[in-house]
Parts: sequence; C-alpha cells; structure tokens
Amino acid sequence: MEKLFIESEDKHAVEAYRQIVDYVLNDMSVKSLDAIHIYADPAALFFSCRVDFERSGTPLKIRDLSTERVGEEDVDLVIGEERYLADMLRKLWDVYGQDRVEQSERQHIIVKGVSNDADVEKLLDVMVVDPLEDFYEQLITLAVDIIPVGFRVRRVEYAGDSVLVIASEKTIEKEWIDYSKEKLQWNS
Amino acid sequence: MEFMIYRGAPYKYDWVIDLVEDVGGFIISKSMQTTEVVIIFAVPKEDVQKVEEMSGRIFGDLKSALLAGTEIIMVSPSYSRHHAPMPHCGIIQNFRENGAKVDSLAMARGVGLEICRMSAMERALIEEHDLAVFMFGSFEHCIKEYKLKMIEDLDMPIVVMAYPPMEVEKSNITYVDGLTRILMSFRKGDEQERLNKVTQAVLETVKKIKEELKDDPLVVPPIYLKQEIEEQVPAIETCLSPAPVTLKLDSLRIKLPYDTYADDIKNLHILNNRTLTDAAEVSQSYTGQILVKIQRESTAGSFFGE
Repeated sequence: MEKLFIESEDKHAVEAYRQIVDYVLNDMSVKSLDAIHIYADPAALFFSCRVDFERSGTPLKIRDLSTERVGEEDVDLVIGEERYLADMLRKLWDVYGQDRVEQSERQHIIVKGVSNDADVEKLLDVMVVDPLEDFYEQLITLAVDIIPVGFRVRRVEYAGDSVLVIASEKTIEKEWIDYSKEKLQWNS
Repeated sequence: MEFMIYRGAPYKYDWVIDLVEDVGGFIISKSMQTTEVVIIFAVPKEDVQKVEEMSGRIFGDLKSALLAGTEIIMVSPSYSRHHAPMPHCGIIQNFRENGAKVDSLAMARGVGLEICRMSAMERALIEEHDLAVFMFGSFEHCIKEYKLKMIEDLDMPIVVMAYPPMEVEKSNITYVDGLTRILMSFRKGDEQERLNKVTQAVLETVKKIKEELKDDPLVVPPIYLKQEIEEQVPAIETCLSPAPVTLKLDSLRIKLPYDTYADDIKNLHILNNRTLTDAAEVSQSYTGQILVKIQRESTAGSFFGE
C-alpha cells in the first residue's frame, strides 16, 4: 500500500508491520481505502491505528426506493426495488411500530396514521441503507486484524472520513489517547 | 537406517511395504487417502537403492524423511485470525512433509506483554515432546523482556521464530528471524526461503540431539520397541489415532489409556528374556496416554553385548 505510515522506535517492527498490513489488505480486499497510520511504541502498553477512506456510495432513503400514494388516513408505498424490502420494513417497524405498518401485497407497504404533508415528508426521509455504517465496521475489522492480538481493550473513534482505534491490554489511560491523537494528527 | 517417505497412487503400494519388511526395515506410518498413499519407513542404508527401483516401477515418489521419528510441538500465541490458519498451519505442514509427527498448541494466554503466561498444563504438554517451535511477534523489546522470559524455564530444545534479527544467549534456544504472524501461504516470493530457514534450524537441532544420543546410545532403538509393541499388544489395533505408537528420538508415546494397558506394556518381552521395564521407564502422559522413556547404556548397560 502506498499511503501507509508507520511510526515506531523499533525499525524492524516497522518493516514487519509493513508486511503484515500488506498481507491483511490482500486477504480482506477493502475498497476505497485512502491511508493507514500506525503508531506503536515498543515499550508502551498501547497500539494505535488510524484508517482513512474515500467516501463512496450514497445513502438510500424511502423516497429513493418507492413511490408514495397518499390516502386520507394512510400512505401506500409502492416498492420499485425489491432488494431493499426487508431493510425497509425493519426500519419502518422501528420508527412507526408493527401495528401501523402493513405489507398488504408483495410490492405495497401501507403506513397508517400518516396523512398531513409534514408527516409524509418525514416518512419519505427515513434512511433505509447507510453504506457508511457497514464500511465503518469493515475498517474496524481491518484495524483489529492489524493490531496485536493481546491488546483486547479497544477504543474506537469516528470522525468524517477516518476511524481511530486505540488498543491496549489494560484500561486505556487518557494520556495514551491524547498522545496517540497527537502522533496520528487526529483532529476532532 | 535411512528414513524415507513414499508418496504414490494406491495401485500396488503394498509392494513397497513388502520390500521394506523383506530387507529388514520398519514401517513407521502408513496413511491412505482416496488417491494417495503416504508411507514413512526406515530401511538399511545398503537397501535404499532397491526401494528406489521398486518405487520407480510403480511410479511413486520417494524422498528422504529428515525429521522422521521426531515428535515436534508447534506453539502459537493464539488461534485467532492473526496466527492461524496462516502461518501456523503452513509451518506444521512443512514439518509433516519432512516426516515429523507434529502436534499443534495455541496457548490460552500467550499473547500480550505483561499478561502473557504459560500454564502448568501447557508446560507439561510441551515438555513431553522432543522439540518445541515457538512463534513470537515483531517487537524486540516484547520478545526479550516478556516472551523469552515466559519460556526460560523450559528445559528442552526450542526453536524460536520472530521478526527482528537478534541474539539469544540461552544454549537450548535456536533463534530464527524473519518469520512472524504474517498471513503468508509460503508459495510466492521469498516466503519459501523464510520457511526453509525455520526447517533448517529444526533439522540442525534434531541433528544435535541425535549426536548427543550417539555418545551415550539408547539400550534399544525406539523403532524396534515400536515393532514389538505392535506385535505383542493387540489393543493397538483398536486405537483410532493415525499414529497409535508415535516414535520420538529417545522414547515412545503409546496412545492407549495408561490405567488399563500400563501393565501389559511393562511386561512386554524384549531381547534376551528381558521385559520392557529393564530397558525403559513407563509413565503416564498429561493426557492419560503411555510414555515409554528408553534408558541409556550408561544406566542400564548394553543389551547387545551379552
């Protein structure tokens, strides 16, 4: 990987981690990765890793996946893309409750008790698929694969296009977090 | 005796077994998969050519088994994605291809710096083997200050592999650099070369142990005892393990329950109307199997000189 920055006083460990990261990336095939920054002090009990990525994919809302037919006391959503039907139902049940959401036919979902314009707008803006959520998970898995196995206490922070993982075998101290953030130029 | 491995199709493989037995050799193990037979055996040096000719006639592949008769334990800090299946299993496979009997162990708490520990159970299991191979990490500080201290009590030949090049002072430890928890499958680039370094270190360690054995030889060779046990203890055939009697450099592991079969093993007849207890110490392994530790000539006297 081109943008791989490893900082450590042990120069052999830098070489080793360069290879470890290369092999882990080959194995996982994570797309849209921008850079990886690692800070590892050989004598300290913590290891920090920052993964930067490039955003790709847009979030999908109910508006993008269906056409609405507003009735007097309910809204009938006509589904165009069946692939996201399960996600959509799950999300609507979370927001409106199972008694108000009904799948009357294969491609129709009726949401009861939504009739005025403001409520309909709110319904159409419900987010169904957030690509960023899955991507964050993938990046954390990547970071965990890079971090030594023994460091099982982990702190994860998100900021825009980056994920920061600090890991240790003990309770993570505040100085370690501050120091890691300073070393890895974490601004948030 | 020369240790060798035969690999070939099942067709007429029994010709090799018959020949080995006719020239006074020993079959160590025979494993038969659907399309391949692997036989590890020992033959007198002067008869190697005959076996080579026979192997050529039935289109088999014959090579020297440099690690045959050795029981090795490969110890990794954990079975997580970081260590297994690669490179842990790749290294084991390489030893097996050289004829060794390899056990695999992942320590319960072998990871980390201050938290790494070796339990009494793990230590007992490791010490039952001829040789232990340990895989450690990438930081010199971690290896020197924590990992080598964890294994310093082990009084047996050890091969340690880790990434940084460094010197280890203890005489029973051979250190190999360049190989650590990198997910390599040992197929491309310099991966094979790195693996060969570890195999070479293991071979040298085994050679040293064998030379030491020459100075004060065993009263009977383990391979001879193995044959006697297989002939005189019929219960061996009920054992489902691929190697019911495992050869070690100076002892044997019999995979039968100690409580039931220990007396049968102790009263086994060997050379010149002697029993096995005259030549060896029988004890229980940590997992309840039978361990037969053969005595040296300096303790029991020569059996063949009488």
